[in-house]
Amino acid sequence: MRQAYSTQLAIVTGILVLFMAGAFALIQSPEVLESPGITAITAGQAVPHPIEGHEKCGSCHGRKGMKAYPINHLGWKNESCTKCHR
Amino acid sequence: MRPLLYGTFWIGIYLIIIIAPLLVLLIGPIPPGRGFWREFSVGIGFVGLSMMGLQFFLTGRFKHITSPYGIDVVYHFHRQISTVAFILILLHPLILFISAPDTRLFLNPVFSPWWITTGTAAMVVLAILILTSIKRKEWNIRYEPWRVTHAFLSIGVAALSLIHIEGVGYYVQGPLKRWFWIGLVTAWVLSLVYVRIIKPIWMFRRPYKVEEVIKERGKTWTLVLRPEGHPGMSFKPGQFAWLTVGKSPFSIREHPFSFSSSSMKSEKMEISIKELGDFTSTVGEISPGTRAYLDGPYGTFTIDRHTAPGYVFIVGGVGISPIISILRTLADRYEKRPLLLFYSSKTWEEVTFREALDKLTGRLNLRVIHTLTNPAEDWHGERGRINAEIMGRYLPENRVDFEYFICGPDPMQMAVKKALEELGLPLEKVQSESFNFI
Repeated sequence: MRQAYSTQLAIVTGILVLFMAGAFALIQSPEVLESPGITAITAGQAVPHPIEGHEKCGSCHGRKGMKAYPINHLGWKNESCTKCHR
Repeated sequence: MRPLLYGTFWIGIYLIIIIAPLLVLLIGPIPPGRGFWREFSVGIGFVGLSMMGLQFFLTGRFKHITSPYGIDVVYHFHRQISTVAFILILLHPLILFISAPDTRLFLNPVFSPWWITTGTAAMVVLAILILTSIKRKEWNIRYEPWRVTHAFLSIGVAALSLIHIEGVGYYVQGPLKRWFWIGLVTAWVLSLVYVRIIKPIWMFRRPYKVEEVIKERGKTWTLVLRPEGHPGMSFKPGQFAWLTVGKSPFSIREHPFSFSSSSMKSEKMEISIKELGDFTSTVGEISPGTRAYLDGPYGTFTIDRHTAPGYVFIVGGVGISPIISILRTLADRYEKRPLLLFYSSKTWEEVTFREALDKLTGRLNLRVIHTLTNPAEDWHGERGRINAEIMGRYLPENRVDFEYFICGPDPMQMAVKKALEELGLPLEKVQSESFNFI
């Protein structure tokens, strides 16, 4: 009986973690929610060319592009680039 | 504090600590988000590490934490939540690989920076840690080497994960976040220091001497332990302790056994052990005078937590140890309430504590029903395993008001619980304890 409660608690904990991680991602995700209090703490390198018409950053700056971004930028979406690089 | 309230308190603390990394990440200036799925994956990773770190506390045998639930349930939760944490941590890279296909490049060690490699290594070590625990018995891994390996692999997972987080460097910048992680890691290290150094030192200063080794029926030995230079251990009837014999308390060779003596006599304690495995088969060779150490008492399998007009004990084989302790304690307390003991053994000759039980029936309002699974032809008592039919013949009419204590091998416990359900008894009235700590 007590062990059944323990299993239930482990499952509920897992679900709670997924829920909390989802809430965290929602807060951090600019596509879904705008968080006015959030400010970038890193200023990226300035973009030396017009951004308009070149919104798909990954096509030139992806890992196989002509000017690849650093490896720690892997997985970032095109919409995220202009948060730091302007 | 009442056990329910105390238990709820610790569950609340546990849940707050595991999600604390996410809350701390959102305090102060935070880096910009990088898309929902990436942040979801990162969130799971942080919480997964927090869950793994808390495992050091779950297995540290902290009495305040274990007492509301029973240490067997805490260990059971440790095993269950490890699987949950592993699945969550596994989701961390999987979500990244699916949501951002270019991150699959990290699978190639040539493109993988060192901080990603440490994350991958942490995952591999965690998989080994969990697999060797689940399959230990199946793969015939001996307990002692497994325990040492388990401890080192756990520390390895925590260290590699922390290096991974530090290497990625996202969400951990800023003094508050830094101090949070320093505090968390310090707490993990302190729990290890307590378990491996402070507690053994405390035990070293409270030694016991094996005064006598008594051969009992049914391949069982009773160790009589006398405290040396201290008043002994105060325990409740039905509780158990981890025993170390002939080694220092820093040794990993320790095993959980129930007390079989009355809890009213802490100046001389008895532990009864049935020959079942590596260590238990050597108990008969222990010489009187050997030094021993006890870590305990633990367990919630005690009548003192459950008030009732009468008690029923259902025992299989070596499960008699905690029950004889309960009965001896009740006799010393001049107990008058009705007590019923169903006791399953193989043969009449192998009934452990047979004579002691006979004497106790004279001191208590106790009825003992022996049932033998391999009886002689002239046996006139109950035959076979304990079942609903046998119990139904002896249980009193007010059986619903009684508390039931089951002790024996896990399959026997399952069968008896099913039988009690058949008899219409609520499972809330049924207490049991499993010694499956691995």
